[in-house]
Amino acid sequence: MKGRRASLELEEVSVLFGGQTRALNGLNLRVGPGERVGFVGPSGAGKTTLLRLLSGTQRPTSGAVRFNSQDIKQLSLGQLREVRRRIGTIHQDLSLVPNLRVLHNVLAGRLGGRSILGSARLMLFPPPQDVERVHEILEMVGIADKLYERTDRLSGGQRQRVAVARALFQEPSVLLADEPVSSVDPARARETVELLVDISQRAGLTLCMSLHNLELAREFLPRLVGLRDGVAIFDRPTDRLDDRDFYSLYELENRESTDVAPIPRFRVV
Amino acid sequence: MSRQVEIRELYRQRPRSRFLRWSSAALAVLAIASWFSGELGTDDLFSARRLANLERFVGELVPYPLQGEAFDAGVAFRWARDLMAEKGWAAAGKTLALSVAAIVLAAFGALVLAPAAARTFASPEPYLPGPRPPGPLRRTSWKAVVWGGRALLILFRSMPEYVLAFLLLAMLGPTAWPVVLALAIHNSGILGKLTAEIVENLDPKPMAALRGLGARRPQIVVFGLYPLVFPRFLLFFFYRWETCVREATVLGMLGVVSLGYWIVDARARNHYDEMFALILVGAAIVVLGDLVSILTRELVRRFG
Amino acid sequence: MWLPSLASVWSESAWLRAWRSGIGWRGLVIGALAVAGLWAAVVLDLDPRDLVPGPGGLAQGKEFLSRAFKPALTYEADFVPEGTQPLPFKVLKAVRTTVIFAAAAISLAVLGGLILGSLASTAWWFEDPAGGSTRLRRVFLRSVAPVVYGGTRVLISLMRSVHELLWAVLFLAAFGLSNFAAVIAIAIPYTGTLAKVFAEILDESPREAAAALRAAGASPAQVFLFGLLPQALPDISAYAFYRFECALRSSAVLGFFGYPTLGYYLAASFENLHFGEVWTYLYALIALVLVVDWWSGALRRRFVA
Repeated sequence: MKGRRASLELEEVSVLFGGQTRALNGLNLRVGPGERVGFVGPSGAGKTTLLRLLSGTQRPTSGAVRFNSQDIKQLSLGQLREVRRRIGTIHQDLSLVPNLRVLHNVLAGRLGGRSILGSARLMLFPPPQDVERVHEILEMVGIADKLYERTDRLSGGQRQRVAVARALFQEPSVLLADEPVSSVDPARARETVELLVDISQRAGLTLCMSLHNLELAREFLPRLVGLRDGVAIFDRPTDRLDDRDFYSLYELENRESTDVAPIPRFRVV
Repeated sequence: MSRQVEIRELYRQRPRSRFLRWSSAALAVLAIASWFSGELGTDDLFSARRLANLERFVGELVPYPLQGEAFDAGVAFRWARDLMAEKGWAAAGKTLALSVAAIVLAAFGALVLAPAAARTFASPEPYLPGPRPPGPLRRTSWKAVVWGGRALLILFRSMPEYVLAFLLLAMLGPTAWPVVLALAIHNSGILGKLTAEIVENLDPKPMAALRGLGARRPQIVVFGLYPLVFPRFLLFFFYRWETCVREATVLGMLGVVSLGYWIVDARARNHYDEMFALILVGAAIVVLGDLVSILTRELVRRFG
Repeated sequence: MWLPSLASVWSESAWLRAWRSGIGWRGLVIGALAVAGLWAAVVLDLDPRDLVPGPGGLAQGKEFLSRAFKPALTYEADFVPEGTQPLPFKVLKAVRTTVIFAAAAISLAVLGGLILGSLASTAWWFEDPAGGSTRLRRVFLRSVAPVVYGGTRVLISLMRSVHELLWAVLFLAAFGLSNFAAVIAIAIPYTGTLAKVFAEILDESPREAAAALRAAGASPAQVFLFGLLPQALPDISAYAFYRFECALRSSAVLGFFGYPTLGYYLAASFENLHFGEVWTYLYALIALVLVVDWWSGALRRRFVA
């Protein structure tokens, strides 16, 4: 398949909100084709902004975002849509249409690049092979029997899987996941992360995932980027990170809240 | 192959509402059938005679002193000023007064009727259980109260204002009452239904507390329900006032000297310029009413 | 210097104190409304004594009300020409025309309302936060979009501000009696109202799904059609159905201006003092409205819940 593998690159990227709040500050990052990377760090560190930059839905205030070495800023709107089509995102709030059936929510993943008539046909009279593909993907994420269920009738964990299925149905080159396990119980969380890692490994997808859960991040992702206050504190293979690195990541947060027992501070070089 | 079978099976078992399906189909059929019923012929709408009539009509929309003349802003202004001085201002004031009188009366009616139509309040033991369980007689009679209250509200709401005003005019004679009452009745039906819904959705605790202090029903209504309902009631009040203004411009056609009266009067005299100008005045009042209503509703939302 | 003192005067003022305490605030509103009501009563010369009908009116009113329980099933006229269809058929025919007018008008209005409502909502022109190099789009968003949006809002407001009966009067003067013109007369203000409410519904529905579709490469039109509209659809249909109920009433009233709907026959019977027939028509109208009211309620419960 042409162009199935893709790389992402950030060069000296800063993002300012409202002209002053600095969400990201001079970030450099390269994620190669098929690489699997986790973003960790305290809330407000800029993980969501980073993922939105990578998915082409957030413009950097300065610096460049590159998809397969093309600067996103140089793209036309049509080309930008084409890039976005190749990036599947699983959003923190899932972002599904609650009163549509699961099938249609998943089908909506492939709207990109179609004409209005073509997309109307896809959504209203889906071709059998597309329905089969949706069923296959739902089977992969474990909810094949919910194909025709209304999405708002599903449990939180099942909806999570619908969101994953929609991103996969897009046939993306890159899979982005923003806190994909923030709304499910620990057992489910583990399953979901495992699923995402497994799928991207098998299909050779580039995977970027932000995670609160350090344990899961260290277990499943071969490379971790630690973010704090919009700056990358570390960016290393997971096996070369130790507890001290993670302490440093959360250091500031703990120092600020004085009523928490002091944690020994470590100097990071 | 088995996947296709499975999908077909899932499709067959998909949850769906037959009622929804049939209703949408029926509505679509109704909409299409209405156009092919033969009642709405458009072919003679553009006949030569009608087009000539239309052309004459459009020509007569121009203020009379300017017909066939070059446009002169001064003349147009004087014409408009005279029209407003003669009829416009007074009629606009009356239209506004009709809407205000009607909505105030409607609010009274709604506030009286709503508690009776609210299941939480109109029950044998509102908000707190009594010393002993109510007998079947009390239970059914309270059910009858709720049922009666709702029936009355639906009846009020289903009668068009215009028909009500038409009937009342014959009985009460040519005062402003028929129009005011017609608007008040119809709107108390709508306001009453909305208020009853608010009452049913209220948090019962304050009323239960009042009841625990030994308050009787009227006291619960005045000191419990009304204060709690008030902010949302005001929202609906102004929203309905908006429509009252719209209707009041029109109901004058039945003979009360508001805008509608002068509009049909001008039409009867074939003074289309005047008719058109007065319709525009009506539109201005409605837009003004909308603005006032939006503004007050926003205020209520902020501070209520 | 003077600023703090002004503030202290203000804080001492009775107005603000009334404003602060809830009862005072409510009292103010109720007081204002009472004053407005009194003003209206004076302007309109509303005298409670006028509520008691004169002897003639009283007798007529009594007779009229007494027929409420005896609606007519046959004509009340002394002479009914040979070959006149029986009254129930005539009533059904009037009901049929009333429904046809309302259905035709509302179908036009829903179509127009969806188009204008979409244009008048902010949903289709929110800025793409990564619309990188597209100067054209920025120009569009800065100049074209606000003009379209504002223009549509003004148009909607104009359509709404003239009552359907006034549109009917205008069209009567312009075209003469034409059923098609009557349908348009209802459709114009209804389009305006539907468009306004549709726009509000669209603006209030959640945008996360829409944003997700955009992130997956969908075009703005696709985002609107498949990310936004489906979520707004239950509310939109419920409101459209309610307006259908209103259209039935409007259509019936148009009969008073000579169109063959319920109002026409109602007025004719009333003027001939055939009160039993009047009640028959009234009951037909009420039944019609009740059926639609029940239907929309039933749909709403299934659709929205």
